[in-house]
Amino acid sequence: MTTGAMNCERFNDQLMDYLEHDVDAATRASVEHHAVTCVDCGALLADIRKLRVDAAKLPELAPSRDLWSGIAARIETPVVPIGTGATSSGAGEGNVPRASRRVVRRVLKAALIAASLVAAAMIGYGARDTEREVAQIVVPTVPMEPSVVAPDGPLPTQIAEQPGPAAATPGSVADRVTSTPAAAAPATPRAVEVQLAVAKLSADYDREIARLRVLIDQRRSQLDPTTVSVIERNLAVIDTAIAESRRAIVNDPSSRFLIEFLNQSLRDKVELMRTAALLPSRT
Amino acid sequence: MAAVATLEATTPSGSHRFDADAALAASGDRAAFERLYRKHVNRVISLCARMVADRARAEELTQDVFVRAWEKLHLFRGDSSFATWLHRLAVNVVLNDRKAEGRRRTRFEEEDEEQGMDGFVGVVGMPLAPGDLLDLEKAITRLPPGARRVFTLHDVEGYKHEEIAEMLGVTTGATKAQLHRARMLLREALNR
Repeated sequence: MTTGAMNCERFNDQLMDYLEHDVDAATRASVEHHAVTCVDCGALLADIRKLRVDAAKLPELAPSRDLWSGIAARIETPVVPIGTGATSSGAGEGNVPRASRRVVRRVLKAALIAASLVAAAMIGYGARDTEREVAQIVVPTVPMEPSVVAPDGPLPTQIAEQPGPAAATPGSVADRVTSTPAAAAPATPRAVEVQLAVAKLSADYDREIARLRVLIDQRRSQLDPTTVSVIERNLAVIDTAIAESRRAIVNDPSSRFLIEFLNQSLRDKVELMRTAALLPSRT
Repeated sequence: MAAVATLEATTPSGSHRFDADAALAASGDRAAFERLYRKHVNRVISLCARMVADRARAEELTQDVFVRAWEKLHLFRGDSSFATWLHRLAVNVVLNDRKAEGRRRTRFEEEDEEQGMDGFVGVVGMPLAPGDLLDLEKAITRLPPGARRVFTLHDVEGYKHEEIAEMLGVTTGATKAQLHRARMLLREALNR
């Protein structure tokens, strides 16, 4: 149908711009005139106008379940304060790591660190005689970097640096550690101190790791299986490094080198698990 | 931004309260952040649900939006209202999710290719009993993805073509074409 200079085809062409108020006055008048005189185009214009009004008035939807608990779990990832050596941006409760942007980099970093830790732990284990000689000079006199700040006790490294006999009590962690077959040789007071420090350090991390493990397991179904697989593989690598370090420390408890590597590998594990726990769904 | 403006058009004291909560949340106050969540969750999930047409996925994305908001709150300067900031963040999260899941499609216009107009005779891809009348909400979920996103952002959420084109990385001509297509499909669906 043609009305003046406007026909149905031109009306259709102009309709979007007309509705956006993006036509000149003459075109606007032509469109409106055509809509009045053409039943089909008039109905189309009326329907589109109604559609716009209805769309803008659509009611808000509500979640079918409480989503806050899941959000809270992700933003309230428990934090073990990490010392100056930590790279995590989640050191405070208000600063959660920007996991989604950094996960690939962190996974790769963790894998590299874990691999180097395994190698280094093995080297350290094999060369422990030499290392012990160095460590026995270094440990008592050079303060280790305070890499772990225990939330409810002194620095593990501070324990290691305290002079005098260890305050280990019967049945304590230190007893448990030093009673392993690999530590059959009589433990010196210094060795007991170090074992105690290592046990405390491990316990702090283990609590955090256990909490993160629960969180990750809860979120497993929301995450991309490939991502989960990559994370688990890298955690396994880090676990190997941790186990190797612990075994090596039992044999060479005064090696600052090994203690630092254990601390680093535990820290990397927590870091990677925090990243996993904060991953957006199905990235 | 009609819809967002409506959301913000609370009482002055209400607006002040939520700005204060945004500031508190930015400083790490999780109770304040939960209040923000309670206030805005319906708005966010409405956007997500209409954009992705999948309720379960929309809920996951809504959680992602708030986790991302918590992470990014330190960047919120108060230049706009928190609602506007959060809303735009939600759009970005949804669109980024689309990119992550839809890399098989490289161009905006290609996304709906296999579901051209001819494929939408009647209602999009869903067999309906004769005489069944779709409501607008359901009809939106059955739009082709590209048309659905543009319709939701423009006609439901009130964004301008220029803003949508920037978000989607396409031209305004493309968004106008998708909007026109969406409206025509919806009209057809609703008038069955």
